Amino acid sequence: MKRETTIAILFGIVLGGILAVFILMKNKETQLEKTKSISPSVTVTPKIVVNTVKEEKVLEVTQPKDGAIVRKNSVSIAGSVPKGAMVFITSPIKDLLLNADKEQFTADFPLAFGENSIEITAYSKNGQSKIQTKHIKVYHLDEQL
Amino acid sequence: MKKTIVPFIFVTIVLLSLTKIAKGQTPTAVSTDEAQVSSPSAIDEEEINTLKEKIATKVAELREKNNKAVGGSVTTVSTGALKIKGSDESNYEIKIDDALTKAYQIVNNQKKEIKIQDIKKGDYIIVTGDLNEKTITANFIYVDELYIVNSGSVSEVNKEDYYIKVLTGDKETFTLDIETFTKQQMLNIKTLKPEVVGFSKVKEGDRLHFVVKRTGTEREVNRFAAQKIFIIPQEYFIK
Repeated sequence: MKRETTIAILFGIVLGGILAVFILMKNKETQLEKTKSISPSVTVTPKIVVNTVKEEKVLEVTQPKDGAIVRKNSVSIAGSVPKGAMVFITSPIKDLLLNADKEQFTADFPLAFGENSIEITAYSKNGQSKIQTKHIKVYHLDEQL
Repeated sequence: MKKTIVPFIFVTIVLLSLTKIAKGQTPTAVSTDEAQVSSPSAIDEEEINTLKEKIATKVAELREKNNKAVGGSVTTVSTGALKIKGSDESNYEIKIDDALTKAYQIVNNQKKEIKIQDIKKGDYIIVTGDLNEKTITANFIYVDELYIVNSGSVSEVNKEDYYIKVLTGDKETFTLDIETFTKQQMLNIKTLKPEVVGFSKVKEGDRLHFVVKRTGTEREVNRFAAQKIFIIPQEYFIK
């Protein structure tokens, strides 16, 4: 065999090998692109979502106490409500509407002699939240013990 | 002469000095004695008065602390005792002392003394006194009128018979007769101020605050002539 022939055969084998490797690699890439993976390719890190929505304040009447005996003909009604709520205080002798700019409210309220049934209602600013109501009885009596 | 003068002078000086001492001491001694006798009694009296005041204040505080008021309708009248049903649906026994317990009738924001015997079954009374569980030793009894203050949503408006049915938060239905004396007000949702309105403005679904007086002559259970109503229109909640 001639020397040129041997070089040509070797050159052909090397070139064929390089070509084969190139085709194989290209084929693998195509297969990876077409294959749909079952497991998620992106790692999902679980996140703890903290609910930042503030729980709505509950209507509370701090004074007077239910069943209180009062000697004066008026009483200071105080308590806490959701901010911006409309507070409606009613009794047989008086209706009072307040707009609570803060979470607290206070109001001077007249009393009739004897038993005073007083209803305090808080309506939230937007009118959407639930209505909260409290009933108290205050006794305006002038007795001397 | 000299012999007699010297002892004489000596004796005189001694006597004079003794008199001086005696003169100087006597008032002090008397005043000390007086002080010893009078000051302890004055201090004692002062202490007794302070103690008396303290006891009186403490007793008043305790009586004030134990003094409770309970309102309810009289269910039983007997000698020396009454039974009432409170607004909390509890039954209370009222002990009456003929000598100590005083009774009054409240009329037009004034009290008028009455006899215990004037209290009858069905009366609404306020009793004040020492409350021990469900027994009250009455100091004062006031015969009063029972007002019911409540609210709920309007479930029916009858424009022929002029009544409104209201379902309260406790799932109780009240029928309110609108009379000529009924004070009717509504919240203006723009100004958030109350305004006087007529019966025609009330709609089903509105929220309604009401005050009624129990007279004992009601035709139906939970049916009353309304003293006043206050309407929060449903539009307030859907704005």
